[in-house]
Amino acid sequence: MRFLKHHLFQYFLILMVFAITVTAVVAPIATGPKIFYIVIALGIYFFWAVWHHWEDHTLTLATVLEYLILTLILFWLLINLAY
Amino acid sequence: MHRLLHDFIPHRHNNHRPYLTRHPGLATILVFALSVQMTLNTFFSSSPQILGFATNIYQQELIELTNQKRIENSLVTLQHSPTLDEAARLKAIHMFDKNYWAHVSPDGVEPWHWFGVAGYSYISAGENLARDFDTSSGVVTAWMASPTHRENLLYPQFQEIGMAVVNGVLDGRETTLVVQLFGTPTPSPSLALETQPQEETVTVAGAETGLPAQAGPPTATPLPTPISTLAPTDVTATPELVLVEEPTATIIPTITFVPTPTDSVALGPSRRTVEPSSDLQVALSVFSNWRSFSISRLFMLSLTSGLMGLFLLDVAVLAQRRIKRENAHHLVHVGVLLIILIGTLVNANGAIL
Repeated sequence: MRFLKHHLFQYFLILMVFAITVTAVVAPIATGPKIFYIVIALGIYFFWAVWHHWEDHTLTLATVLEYLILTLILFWLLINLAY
Repeated sequence: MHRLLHDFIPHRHNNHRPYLTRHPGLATILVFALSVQMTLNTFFSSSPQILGFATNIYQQELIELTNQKRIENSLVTLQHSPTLDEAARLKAIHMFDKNYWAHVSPDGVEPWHWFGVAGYSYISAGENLARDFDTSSGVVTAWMASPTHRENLLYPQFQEIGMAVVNGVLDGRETTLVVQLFGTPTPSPSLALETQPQEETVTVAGAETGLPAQAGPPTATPLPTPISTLAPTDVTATPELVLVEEPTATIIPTITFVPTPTDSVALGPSRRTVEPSSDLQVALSVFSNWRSFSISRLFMLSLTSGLMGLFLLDVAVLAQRRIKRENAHHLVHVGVLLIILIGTLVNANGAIL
């Protein structure tokens, strides 16, 4: 619980990024900007994750690969949502 | 059982980290998702796309579903009219060309114009529009959820139906437009001799159902007395005599609507009165019928829910066993997937007009 409290603000920020992105993705706007928002959000997500683990001294190659694949899964989900 | 434990649930045998939450497991999920989507797009889609959802809306299915609703309401079924199909197709193409989403185009072209261009002469007509739906069932379910569109679908006087499902780009977005036209054709010349001129009715999106019009078909200027050159008792006159009075001028009519006392609506989207709850009803209608979701969207919902469940299970088991694991923050993943899941559900329905 202490761990959660310590990272709560960072969690909140990344969830806000996704909340805004998903809102933009489902909004009736052109597809081009949607893809731009998705790429930006996922870039923030990936680098946030790497930085977060680096700060915690838990960054490993396996962690980077895990987040890379998760980023690709989220990209697939969001692109499907955009079309 | 042991395998299940290894893949899904944190346990000492997997070092409290399920296989599916590790990068090889996540890669397996990604490959599985892409393979399934490619298969679905190949075999279950009318318009496959490389990415994203393809639509599963079919003209014949829309007509069958519309007729099914009429049968359920003890009404006669509508006959499929290729001429109305053509009018609907022209309307859809015009919307894409002029980039608008409305019954009346920005330059004032009304729906009835396309009836005339296609060569359909009518005594009553109606139009329903839909966009961005996944399935035919979703379209009809949404129309039925809207009191105004429902009126069009269940208008007893309509005899024929035409549909167009056209893909294109509207407002920069790839869109599938559905145009549904209803009509009651003008009687044949021989019938015209035997019947009195009828008051014409034009409806848009169900909101105007039952609004009698004083003007004629779009391709013609209706005459106050269509068979005026015939003597009232001259029922043996040949059809050719009637054709003299058949309006053939290409004057676009000015349609004047005279609402009946029971109608509180006027023509045109901007003047349409819609029940306050109808928008919400339409938005929620997709949840009343799982067939409103395409197979692709159902798969996406299942995968998102499954992944969310996997991470939630991981977090819950670790919390219950009071095990601290520092290199995985699955609560964030649960949150992100939940946001996407909500977005997918919100986005599941299209728009109708």
